[in-house]
Amino acid sequence: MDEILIVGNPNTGKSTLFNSLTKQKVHTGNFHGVTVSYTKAFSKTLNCYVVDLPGLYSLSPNSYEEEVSVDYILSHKNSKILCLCNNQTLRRNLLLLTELIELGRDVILVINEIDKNITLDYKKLGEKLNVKVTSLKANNIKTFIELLKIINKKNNKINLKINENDFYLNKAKCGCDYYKKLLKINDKISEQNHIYLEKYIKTKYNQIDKILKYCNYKILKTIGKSKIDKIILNKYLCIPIFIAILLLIFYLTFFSVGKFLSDNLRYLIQDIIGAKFVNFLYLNKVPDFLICLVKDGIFSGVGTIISFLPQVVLLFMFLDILEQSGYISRLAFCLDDALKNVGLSGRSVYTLIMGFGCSTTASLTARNMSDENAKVKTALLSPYMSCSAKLPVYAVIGGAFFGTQNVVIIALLYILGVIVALLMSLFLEKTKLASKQQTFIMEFPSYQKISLKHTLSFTFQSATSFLTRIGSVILALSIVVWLLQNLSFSLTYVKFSGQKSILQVLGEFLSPLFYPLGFSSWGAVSAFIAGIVAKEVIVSSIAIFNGVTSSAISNSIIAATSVVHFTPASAMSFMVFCLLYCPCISTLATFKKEIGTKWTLFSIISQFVIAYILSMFTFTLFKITELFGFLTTTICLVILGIILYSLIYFFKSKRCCHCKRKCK
Amino acid sequence: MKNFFLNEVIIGKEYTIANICNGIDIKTKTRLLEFGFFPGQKVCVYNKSLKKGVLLVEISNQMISLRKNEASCVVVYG
Repeated sequence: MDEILIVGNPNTGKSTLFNSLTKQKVHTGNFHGVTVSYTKAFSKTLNCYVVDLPGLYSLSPNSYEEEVSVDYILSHKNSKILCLCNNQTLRRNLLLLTELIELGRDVILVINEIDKNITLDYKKLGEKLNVKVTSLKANNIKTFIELLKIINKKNNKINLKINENDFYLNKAKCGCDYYKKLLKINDKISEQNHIYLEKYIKTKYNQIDKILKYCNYKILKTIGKSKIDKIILNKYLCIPIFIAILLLIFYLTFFSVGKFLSDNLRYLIQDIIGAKFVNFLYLNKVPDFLICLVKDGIFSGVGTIISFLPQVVLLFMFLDILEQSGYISRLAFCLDDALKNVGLSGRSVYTLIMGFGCSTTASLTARNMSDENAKVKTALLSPYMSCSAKLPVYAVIGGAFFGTQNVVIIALLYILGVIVALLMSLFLEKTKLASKQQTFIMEFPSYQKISLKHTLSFTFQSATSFLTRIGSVILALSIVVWLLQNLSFSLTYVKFSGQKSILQVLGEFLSPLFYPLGFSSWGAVSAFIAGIVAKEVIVSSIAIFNGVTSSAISNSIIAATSVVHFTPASAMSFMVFCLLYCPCISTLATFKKEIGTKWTLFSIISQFVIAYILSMFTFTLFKITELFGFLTTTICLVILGIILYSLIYFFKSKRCCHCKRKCK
Repeated sequence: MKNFFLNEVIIGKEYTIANICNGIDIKTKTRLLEFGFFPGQKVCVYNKSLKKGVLLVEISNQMISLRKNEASCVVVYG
């Protein structure tokens, strides 16, 4: 069956077009490198398969995701190519198109008219390039598809085709490693490559310029720097603006709107639906064991997490707004200076911000890094960003102990995650993951109006995915946790046999390890073990262990009689441990595929060690504060800081002296 | 006419690219050339980050951000 590949420069709207053609819901955004792998789906409108490929500037790949595209294009020689270009940067976009034509591919040129201040004669362009050309405006997708149907039936006559091997050789001479590997050429990059490359691209651009002149391509108003950029990119304002945006998102998600919706949903699920359903089961004389499973295992466990749906959805909605607007590229520009010092680049910002949503998707976006080391490093850092699944833990435990001050505690936890990620990156710079050569060349997308339709669709998608996760993994796990908590090793119901449950035995075996962290109860330890599968399960497990509904969970963890209970110090230590201790199973699976088993194991061990040390530190700090007061603790910390700084300074200066002596 | 490196130019003033040095790796040079950084092209630096480590440049109706390292390989005059 026929197949159409959607190819084009990054951020030209390929995934949006793919979604329109196939009715799929592939993630789109106003940042280059959102699509990192290919997606194939059947299009009923075109009656063929359509493939959405990651963006690329030319057929010389510069990152892993570009290699995916080039691989696909070169290995599917008979597929039609739909080359999507935007009229704002048509000159650069045509560079890729001319290469595709040169390879003899059947190409249809689609011009996305994002800029109205540009004139172009499409007919002349089609004649000159010998390809079918069609334009795409934001509102005329239906007309466009009709046009495409007609074009798709006809084959282009290719007259620019050159020998494929000659094309590869040309690229290899330009110093492109990808084609060198393909042709098994091992020579080193020489001065000759630079001259050849410059000539090759300059000749192409000269051809393109002549074509565009012939087609009356005129830019009536240049892109320039927008008024918003003058404020957002101001060197003194950019960081405060970013912090203000983050704080606003936290406030709306965790408190005002998010909390209101969450509290009402919790009331609806547990106090109305849950209570009535359990009552119904009692009236129908269902066995106690089953009632207990439904009440404690399902309504307490799963219900607790469902009530966080509004907060999770709000967080994803804000992330989508940031992504759509084009702000993330600006942020990459502002933060590159700081990230360079820890061996990262501004490009990592996208992965790190996405980490606030979901670590699994974030680690996949690391593919758009320019070299392998940067990709592995960025992926390894993504789990330190506090993902949305940890949100219920902070809301429940933090809310029980810190009340309205919890906003500060949550903000501090998010900041701690970022700091640890940056320190980890600094540490990885000392390993073989040290960045070879730091480059940061990135295109700035124009600001886009936030599309309400896009935001709602994305928000709905994240809500569906959250509910599906709850309905599958979390429901199953909550039942397993309840069974393990209520069954002994001899498979008898513990309430009747009086024996210890399986989970209690396992939890008690491991609990001494967590004594220095302040939460040595078997319930807390078991919750962490269950949380490795999905972080949401930590809260549902606590609700199951304490045998309470989510509205009573906050009171139960304060009460010393509960299975899982905390003091303010141990609660804080518990939250820090939860923030850092281990990526969830799906992230680990992605890690294994993307960065290999060795680095996946490194991630598990290093995160556990870091979480253990920092939790212990937090617990000790809180204990000291409880005993000696806030002022004494602060003074002690300052003194400790000065001692540490002096020690580092002393050892550094000693090494320098030694070095100088040696050098002399 | 006096030549400058792109990272040393006055913000907001238009310059013409004279040359791209060979001192950078070929991958970076490829990307710069693909973005249109080659002799004869007009270029204008619009902004610099706080530590002046990153530049925001307009070239061929596109805004590109690049580091000082990369910018120091682009020789301009004007």
